[in-house]
Amino acid sequence: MEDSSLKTRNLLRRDFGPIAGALWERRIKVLYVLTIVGILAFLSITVENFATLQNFTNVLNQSAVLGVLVVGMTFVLVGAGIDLSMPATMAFSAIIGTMYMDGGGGPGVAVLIMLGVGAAIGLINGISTGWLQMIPFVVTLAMMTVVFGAAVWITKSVSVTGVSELLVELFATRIGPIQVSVIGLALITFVASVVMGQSTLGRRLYAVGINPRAARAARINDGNLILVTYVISGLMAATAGVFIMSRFGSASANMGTDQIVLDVISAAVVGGVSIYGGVGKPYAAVLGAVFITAISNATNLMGIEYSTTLVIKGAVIVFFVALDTARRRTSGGSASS
Amino acid sequence: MNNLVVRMSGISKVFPGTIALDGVDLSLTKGEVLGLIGANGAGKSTLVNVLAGILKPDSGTIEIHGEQIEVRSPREAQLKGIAFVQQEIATFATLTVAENIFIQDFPTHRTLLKRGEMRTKSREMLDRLGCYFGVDDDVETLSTGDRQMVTIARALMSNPSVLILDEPTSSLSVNEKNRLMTVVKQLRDQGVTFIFISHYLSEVFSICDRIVVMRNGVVAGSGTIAEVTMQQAVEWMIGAANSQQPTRRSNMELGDVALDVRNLNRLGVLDDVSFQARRGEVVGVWGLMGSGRTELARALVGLDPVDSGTVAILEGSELLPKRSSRRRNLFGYVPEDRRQEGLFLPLSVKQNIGIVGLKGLSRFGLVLRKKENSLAEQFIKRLGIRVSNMDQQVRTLSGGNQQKVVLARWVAVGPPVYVLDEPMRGLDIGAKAQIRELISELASAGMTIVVIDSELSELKLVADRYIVMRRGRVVAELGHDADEHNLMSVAAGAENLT
Repeated sequence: MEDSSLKTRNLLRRDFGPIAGALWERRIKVLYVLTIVGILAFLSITVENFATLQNFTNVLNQSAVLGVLVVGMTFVLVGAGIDLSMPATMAFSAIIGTMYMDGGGGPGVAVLIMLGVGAAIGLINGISTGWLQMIPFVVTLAMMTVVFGAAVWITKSVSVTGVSELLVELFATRIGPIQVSVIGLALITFVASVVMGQSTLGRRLYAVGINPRAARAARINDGNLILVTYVISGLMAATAGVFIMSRFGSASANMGTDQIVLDVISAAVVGGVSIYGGVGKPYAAVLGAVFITAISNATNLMGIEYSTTLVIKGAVIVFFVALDTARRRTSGGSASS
Repeated sequence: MNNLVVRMSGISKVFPGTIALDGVDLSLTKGEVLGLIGANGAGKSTLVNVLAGILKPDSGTIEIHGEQIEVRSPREAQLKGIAFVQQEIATFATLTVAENIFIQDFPTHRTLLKRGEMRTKSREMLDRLGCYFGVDDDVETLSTGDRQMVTIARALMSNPSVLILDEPTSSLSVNEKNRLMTVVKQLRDQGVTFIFISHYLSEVFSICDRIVVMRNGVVAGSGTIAEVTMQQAVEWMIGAANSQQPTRRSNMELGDVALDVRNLNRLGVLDDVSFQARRGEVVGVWGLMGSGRTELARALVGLDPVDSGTVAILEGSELLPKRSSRRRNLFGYVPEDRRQEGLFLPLSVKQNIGIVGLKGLSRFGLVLRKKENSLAEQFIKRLGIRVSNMDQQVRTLSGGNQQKVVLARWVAVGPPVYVLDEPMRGLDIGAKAQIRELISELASAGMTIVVIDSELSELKLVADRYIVMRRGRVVAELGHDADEHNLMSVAAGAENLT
């Protein structure tokens, strides 16, 4: 009994040589893609009206907000952190922007104020985690509660209106079947990909995420880098706030429920961003967002209850986290500390 | 002999790349204290790990009380009367002393703990060990020495016939050490057999009845304390004189003092460390495991904080003291563990080489591919790094090539002072020679190099002179003519005899 459990453990901990490790990594990647394709194929066959061009553009248009959020989350996750406060920040900044415009403020200034709010919240998260070394999960969970509470408080839990017509019309504009927000997401994804892939910031961030000790030894100031990632996620949350506020012409605290946190993290892990840090690309994470939106869309079309949808999404997360963990084990990726 | 407790015969253990044990025989008789000594990597720890059931030997047999057995797990070893107090003091800080003592086997009554029994039995055991702290104290309130007593008490609960102590004195104060010695003698007189692993010869000679010296996985010599002298033990630790000639630099000219370390202190780690190093000089830091070498390296390069002391670096014609946060950007540092601290394993060779000097390879915050490629190409050629291409993941390289990648990233930015911690560990002979050559080359170019190496014969090939550390202190500075005997004697605390 003891012997066999030991064997299993050894099997799980097996130290793959570099070459066998690379092979396994490739197999896991294939498994990733096969799973996604498989689920989409299954939905196309079983769900009526799912695999239509009309529905596809629908999904794309609906995924813009989630896409922007997951781009921000990718920066934080690659630095081996997590930002649970993003949806709350999105709702809060949308409320502030809407209230400002309702009071007669211009849309340009409103957007700037919203970005400022997002950056400020991100800065607090960043100082706590990057400089003070507090645990990201706890810090941003607390921040989520505080910001969500503040949003409920200032709106007295009713939705606020008064978004500038200019913004509403801009975001209602379509180029062909594609909404402006999708183009916005594409631009953001492009810039984020360049920053992550080409800039010194991106390069150092991957290094910190892979191995913070080695990063410190290689003259990288990991604290500052981590701080920057939370400011970026705050800015992205505010940008998502601009999108969602303009789409609805209003804002409310309910836009930032914890349900969206689940979607953002699912999108990231489905898109191959590792929750252990050091791995992930913005464009892939955005594809993950499209996938998650497609699942919501399909369950809608099937008339499945909301609670069942939650069960399905939760299962999807667990499955992809399992793949992520398997990949990490075979690649011998990051150090433990 | 009737009172033979343990007989290990022909024990061999192979790890990838090294033969840790090569047919080792070891016997223990009842009520003796056996000193197991040897330099770093001699195989002492592997041997006791085999006896304690932590490692499985590849071949060889173990007999306990004349009965041949297989020790498959630490649990089984314990049942056979072998108890192991490991070097790392493994206690649970927020649990009480009694809970710590019984952690392996809580006495229970229908799954509920029998606290009363735990307390009285712990008290008895601690009284036996001459300890006066309370059994209900949280372990975190105890000193290091008292914590160690807790681990010894824990080991004694199973009433072992053999107690293995691995480097038990390395973090103890003088008083705590004396108390430990008294306890060992007392228990020995009660019939407990000890294996006492230590680097410190004076300790071994004062407490042990017999010593076994290991070197490179074999027993290099053994005898009773009456038979063996400390000099003899040192000779066994070193082995036959090494015939390899140092790669001396022709025309060795030393420049000004480039590194001035003064009174570096860190509680429990570094004790008033001062030394200087000149331009063009390779200073070897020598000491046995736990002497504070790596801690010194990390403090020098600003990765660990210090309580007091200064580190000054030559700038222009002046020695300027630098804060630790500044030092991180002035030293070149090759860490001891290249996989855990040196490399970004999933990243490419190119990215690993460029990471330190990234700023110089970029414009407007974007990395310039061309510059990055040409830098990588240049250093792959210069250091002879064997890769199929520069975009290959660094984890697929051999150890020697990985180490060259780590060195390349520093040479690329040209720091005036290098701190190299075990730069040749685990490399093959060819790669070692290449690293040595690179070190000489850097020194000839006027760089100052501080190098740490656990293998004395290896260190002798690169170092121009030595500072010797023991228990966080610099205990000697020796010149180029110091031989292995001197160095080992000083490091092992037997210098008064040479």
